[in-house]
Amino acid sequence: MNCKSSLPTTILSVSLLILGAGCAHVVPTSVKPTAMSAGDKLPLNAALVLNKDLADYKYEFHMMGDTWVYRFGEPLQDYARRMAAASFQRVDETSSAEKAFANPSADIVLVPRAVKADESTGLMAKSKVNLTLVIEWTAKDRATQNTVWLKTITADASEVQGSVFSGSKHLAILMQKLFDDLSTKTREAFQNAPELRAIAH
Amino acid sequence: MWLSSCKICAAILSLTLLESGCGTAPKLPDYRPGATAPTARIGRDAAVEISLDPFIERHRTEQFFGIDAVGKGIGIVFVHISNKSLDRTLLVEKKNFELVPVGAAGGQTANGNKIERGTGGAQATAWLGASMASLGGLALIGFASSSISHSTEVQRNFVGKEMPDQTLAPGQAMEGFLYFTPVPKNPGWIRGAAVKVNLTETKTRQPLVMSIPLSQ
Repeated sequence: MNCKSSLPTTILSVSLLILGAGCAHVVPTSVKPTAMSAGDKLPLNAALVLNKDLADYKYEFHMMGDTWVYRFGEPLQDYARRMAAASFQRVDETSSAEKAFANPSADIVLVPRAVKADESTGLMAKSKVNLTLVIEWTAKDRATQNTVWLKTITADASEVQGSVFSGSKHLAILMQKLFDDLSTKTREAFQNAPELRAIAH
Repeated sequence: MWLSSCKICAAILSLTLLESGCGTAPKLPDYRPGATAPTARIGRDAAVEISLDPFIERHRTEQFFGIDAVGKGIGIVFVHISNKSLDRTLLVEKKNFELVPVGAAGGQTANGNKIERGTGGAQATAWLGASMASLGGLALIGFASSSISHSTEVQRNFVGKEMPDQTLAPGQAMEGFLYFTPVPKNPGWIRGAAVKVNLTETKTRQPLVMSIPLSQ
């Protein structure tokens, strides 16, 4: 085998090596607000805590030396604002629990927390990507600081992975599905919480 | 030159063939028992009923978790809790479920090592990852692809099935799985073991403590 004939093999090997080197990919996480059915608003004033932990929350998925970074902070804050606004008569936003407890007009202190996320996927374009995001909501009585309601919401979404050319489109669909599922389940949880209704009446 | 081109073509063709039908990550089935399983152990008091069903059969862990969890030292317990009280809301948190093996303190193995509670998937996928690391070459890409998709789904599935932390209002019920590691790598890990449960009544902050044996 001469030098010329071994060139394609060398190019292929080098390409594979380059492709195999670790890369970080930032997954776009912008989502549209989920359309929700109108429901009762609880006659409570809620102090919503959107702290740094939520704002900075990200999930990293590692596979074969590559890392996919999901920066969930911004969409989670938007989701939390929408859920609280849709469920309570009045919402005051704060950046810490201390500030929320110091708010004399608040009945309850509402704290959303990102617990964890996980993903499963294959290597091929038609592989399904399954994404799970776990969010916990805690409602505390402002006066006693007792936990009056705690709910863990597990949101799931699946979407085809897509090729090099269509992957971004499918990831955007996956994110939208995930936040639609999260919003629907959260809205339902607020609507069906006897613990919160008991405080309101 | 011709021979070399043939080799490249063969490699591309192999990859194409291997891609078809490989790499999907089928979701593992949900566990929805219609009634209390015969293997479940039940703890009761006036306010609450807690059913614990340890998954010690290999076929059940493979069916619902995609791995032989018993063989890997992961203790899986299905929990169902009903609030039977009329006016007490209970706070249920995973951190307040402790595995107590026979002859040991809560949260420790018999030889004093700490038993962790958490996503058992991490340990399972670490094992799968070690198997993957020993693979190489184009001919193994198909196998590697399906193994990766399986291992990532095993871990995600553990996360999705884990028991949630929540408050439980009167008349409500909840369920989910708890994971304990490490436990002895055989079904005997439940023998003489119990789960110590500590729930809190939200209004008075009074604890409700119960110890439920995992075996008869």
